[in-house]
Amino acid sequence: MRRSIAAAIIGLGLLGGCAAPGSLEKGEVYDPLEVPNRLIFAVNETLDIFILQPTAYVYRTVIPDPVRDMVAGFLGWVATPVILANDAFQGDWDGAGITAQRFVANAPLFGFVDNATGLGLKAQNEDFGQTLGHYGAGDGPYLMLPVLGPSNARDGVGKVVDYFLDPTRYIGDEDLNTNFQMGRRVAGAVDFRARNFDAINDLRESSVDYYARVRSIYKQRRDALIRDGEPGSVGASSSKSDGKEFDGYPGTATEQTSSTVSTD
Amino acid sequence: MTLFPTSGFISLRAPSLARTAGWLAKSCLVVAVLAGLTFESVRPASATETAKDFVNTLAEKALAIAQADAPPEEQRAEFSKLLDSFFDMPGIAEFLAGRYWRTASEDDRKAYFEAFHASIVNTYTNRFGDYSGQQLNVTGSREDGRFVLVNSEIVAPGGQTQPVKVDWRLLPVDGSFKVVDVVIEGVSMSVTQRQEYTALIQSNGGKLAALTEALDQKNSRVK
Repeated sequence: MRRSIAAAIIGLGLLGGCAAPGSLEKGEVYDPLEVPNRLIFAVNETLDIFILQPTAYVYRTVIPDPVRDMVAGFLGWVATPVILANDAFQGDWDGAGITAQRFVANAPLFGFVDNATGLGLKAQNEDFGQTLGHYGAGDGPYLMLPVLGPSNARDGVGKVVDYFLDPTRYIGDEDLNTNFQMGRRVAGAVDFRARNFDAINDLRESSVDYYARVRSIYKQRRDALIRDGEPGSVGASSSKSDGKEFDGYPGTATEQTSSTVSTD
Repeated sequence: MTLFPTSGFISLRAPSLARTAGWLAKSCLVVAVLAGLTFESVRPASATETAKDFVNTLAEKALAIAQADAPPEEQRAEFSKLLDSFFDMPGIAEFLAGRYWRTASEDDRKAYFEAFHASIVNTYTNRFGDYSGQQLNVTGSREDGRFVLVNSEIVAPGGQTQPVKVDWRLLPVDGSFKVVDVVIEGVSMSVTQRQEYTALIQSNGGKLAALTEALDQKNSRVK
């Protein structure tokens, strides 16, 4: 079943663009939909500047730290079942054990107080996009999703699967549940933006091509998450082993060109 | 005879950056660069050991500059000197320009290098005010081709948030090292910047001068 999903992703990838991703430079992101992606990115940026950023600013100014930690804790706790499922899908039983213990340890207060982290149970970061990556699915074309932000074919499919996988979706009254799901995602976005308020603004301010910067960071970050922090090539999915991009670093073969620039 | 890093001090306003996605790389780099470290140094044994010392020294010096009560202009000059002695600035500049370096003229390369250098100084000196108590601990090192990788962690003061992993890629030069790349939670600064720069050059007809212009524009806004 996993193989057929992987195959579907690869199929999606081929549908997505005319050029095969084989011709990419090291570290480059396959982005055949760059023109529409940049358009959506511009819209997302506008939404951020006029809605999310001001909301996050007010949120972090008005709401005291401990309360915001409780909100983040609750959101994290609600997300643990999906993480647990993906730990299991990847055969990461240590991770699954930790996630399950976190869920139980934080259950009495619905995650509002995060006791688990203090007990040495570090929050795991897993989703179905990573599970697909773990089993060797490639990224597919880079996708800028409206409102949701950077993604790619693999992670987009992952998002959909996670959505249906989530047991919290099947609890209680349907309308109420839909509101809850919406609310928790909005709160998550505000919390994320507030937490990284200066970092994101800085990232935007200091860049000459913000779209390209975000695209590269997204890919590298996802690759690192799929590897679960292990350096180097674990599987075919994480072919971006440490330092491959630096094969062409100036110094040996290009000694002369690199020394043409002096710092004086 | 080995080295026991004790600790140093720096800080950042939003300490929980590590857990989130990939956005936060830049500000973490600032923390990394400015992280302080005191240690009892004894004569090191191997290249990987001296590489650890090198990162410790870099962190210590950067922190000293950030914490000095000097006028901004002086701080920038000091930081610029630090960059030149600890980072392989010419090599990095060439690497970031990708394949467009080869086709650029000598003058274009020089102008680009100046603009690139200034932009790095600006980006980091502007954030010097943001520190207040985190530590950088060197956790390991290994050889990787012609480079040496040094692993480190930035730990928040209270230990509340998860540490941020920062890896340093060093190029051995004349018995010492030069930093070539800083990797924060799996996100390489050099690779990111290379992708950004080459994307900009590509959409401007492959001209390196277009990047120089964009960088100059950013730089002039800061001053």
